[in-house]
Amino acid sequence: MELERYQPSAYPDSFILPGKLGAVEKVRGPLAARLTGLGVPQDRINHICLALDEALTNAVEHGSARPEHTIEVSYRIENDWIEIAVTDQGGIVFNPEFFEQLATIKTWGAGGRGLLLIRRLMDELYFVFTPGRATRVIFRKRLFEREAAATPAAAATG
Amino acid sequence: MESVTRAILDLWQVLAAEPDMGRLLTSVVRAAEIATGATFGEIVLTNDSWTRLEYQFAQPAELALLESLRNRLGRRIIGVVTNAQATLQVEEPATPSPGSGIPQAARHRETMVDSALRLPLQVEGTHIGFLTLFNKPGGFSADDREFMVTFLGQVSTTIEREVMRVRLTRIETRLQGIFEAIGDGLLVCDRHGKPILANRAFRTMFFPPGQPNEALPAVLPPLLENPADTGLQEVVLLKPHARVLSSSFVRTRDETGKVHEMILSLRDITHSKRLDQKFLQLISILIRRMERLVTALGKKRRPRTRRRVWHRLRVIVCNLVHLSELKAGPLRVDKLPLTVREWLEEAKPRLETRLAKSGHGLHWPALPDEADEMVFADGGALQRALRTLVAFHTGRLAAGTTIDLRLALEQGAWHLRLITPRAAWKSLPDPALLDWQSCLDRFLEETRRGFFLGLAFIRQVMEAHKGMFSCTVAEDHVVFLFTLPSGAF
Repeated sequence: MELERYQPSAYPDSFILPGKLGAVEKVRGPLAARLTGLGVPQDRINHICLALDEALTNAVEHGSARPEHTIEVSYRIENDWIEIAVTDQGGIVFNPEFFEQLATIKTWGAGGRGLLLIRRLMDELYFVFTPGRATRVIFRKRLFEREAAATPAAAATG
Repeated sequence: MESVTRAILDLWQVLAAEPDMGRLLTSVVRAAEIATGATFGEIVLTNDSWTRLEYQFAQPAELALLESLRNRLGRRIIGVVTNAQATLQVEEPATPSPGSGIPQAARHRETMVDSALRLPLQVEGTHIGFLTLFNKPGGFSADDREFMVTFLGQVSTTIEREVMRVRLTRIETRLQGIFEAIGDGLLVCDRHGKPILANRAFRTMFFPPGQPNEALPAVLPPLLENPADTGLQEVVLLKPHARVLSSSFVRTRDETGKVHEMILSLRDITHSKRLDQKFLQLISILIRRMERLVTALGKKRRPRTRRRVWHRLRVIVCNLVHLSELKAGPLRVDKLPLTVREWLEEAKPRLETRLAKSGHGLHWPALPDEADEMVFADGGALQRALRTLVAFHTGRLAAGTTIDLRLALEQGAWHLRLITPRAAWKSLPDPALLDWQSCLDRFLEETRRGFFLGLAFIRQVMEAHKGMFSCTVAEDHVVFLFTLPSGAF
């Protein structure tokens, strides 16, 4: 296995947002415009934006208990893939599988289905919890169908 | 170039590059011969020196073989190195030649020994043998001895370096083996966060076959960003891996305080997390249901409706009690002297009342004489088990059905059977209900909305008595069987 191939992700685009729901739109709009410019199919853009909405909502709702808490959203587009990282400062450790599975059977409340949605819509989904300090959710999605040989994104991102 | 200079240069080259100890020593003999003008020379490695030097990579079994050979021969095996070859030889029997100082090996050459220069060879402070040079025309001088002492000092240093290298190689191999064998995933990153080393467990965690992914680069930044030099984190590789990892890290620094490397240790806690998660889910659902029922209870005024709500609450509480017992492991029972007759007779009134209320009948057997023999059992637990099973029947059997109860002592165990016609069951009992894990899974998968741990609990009660509990759905009847060892169980 060539370990050298796996360098830590570096995100050229990064936003620091206040822990309020209104902040979601600040990232969503520019990201959707960028993806449209790359010729990404609209349904995929919708999926990516929906997953981002859910991740940001979770970060605001559960990871921003104090007013000074901020949320960092970073993304990179490389080789026909988009990778988005949403980091909040809540540092609460939870088991995403628990909430995701609970969402499929619970009959109370409206929330709890965000993680399930992100998992369904994205190709890869990871979490890193640093207790008391930060929670990062990272999701990745292929921007084009596998068959597409030469894509605008590939040309634009090298 | 002068032959002596060439010989010395050749030797330094060999000392610098030759990993084979035999060839190295051969070159030493050759160089010593040329440098001193001796006709011939040899190194005799005594005792275990040869095996220590030549068989540096030997397995313990090979060394043991050599030892055994030595014991069989009754003589030592020594290493003899000349300018052309390095061999093992059986040591010659000692011949009385006091003061000669000439090794026995030289006698094989059938050469008259006129003069000899014999010098000890030491490695790491241990005497390993001798270098002996023979027959220099005109004899060996003090200068020859002085030169050879210096020369052998250099040789010793080279041998020590080589032995050290071999030792380090061994240690490295051993550490690599340990690194690979450790069940936790280990990853070493350089100061820039670049992964440089990972063990097998780590590779299995992050790179499952047939699932290409970029988990490693994605999770590395937050793992490396932690400002502390040690700490704990948790990593969930949800898709595609479905793994939960507990991560601890250590950042090493050099003497100037600069970050040297970061070592991550990851333990797969997926299984334990899933078990916890299963219970959390179940308890969360049951508590929610209880909350709804308690709220409803406050609003219901009609006694009949209130009784129904109470009953449903009671079922949930019973399930929670059973769950806590089942999860805790083997059930603790207080075994006291008891007869099977006492067990059944004491349970009978409540069973009959219960069955009469639900419109069912019970055919009570004539108990055999052996039913008066003493056994050790928890009478209360056994009665509860029987009542729970009868309650299970009343909820699912058509009204008017009679439960046929039969008791027999077979092969050293009491067999109590509750037999009912298959056709009387509204829905047939599933033997899987006896397995509480299966009950949980099925409930959480919503393949069954009802949740009943009663049968699983009965099984646990019987197992605590070293007995058994089973359910058989036959062609025309359904049988629940309690098996209880007779005597002092």
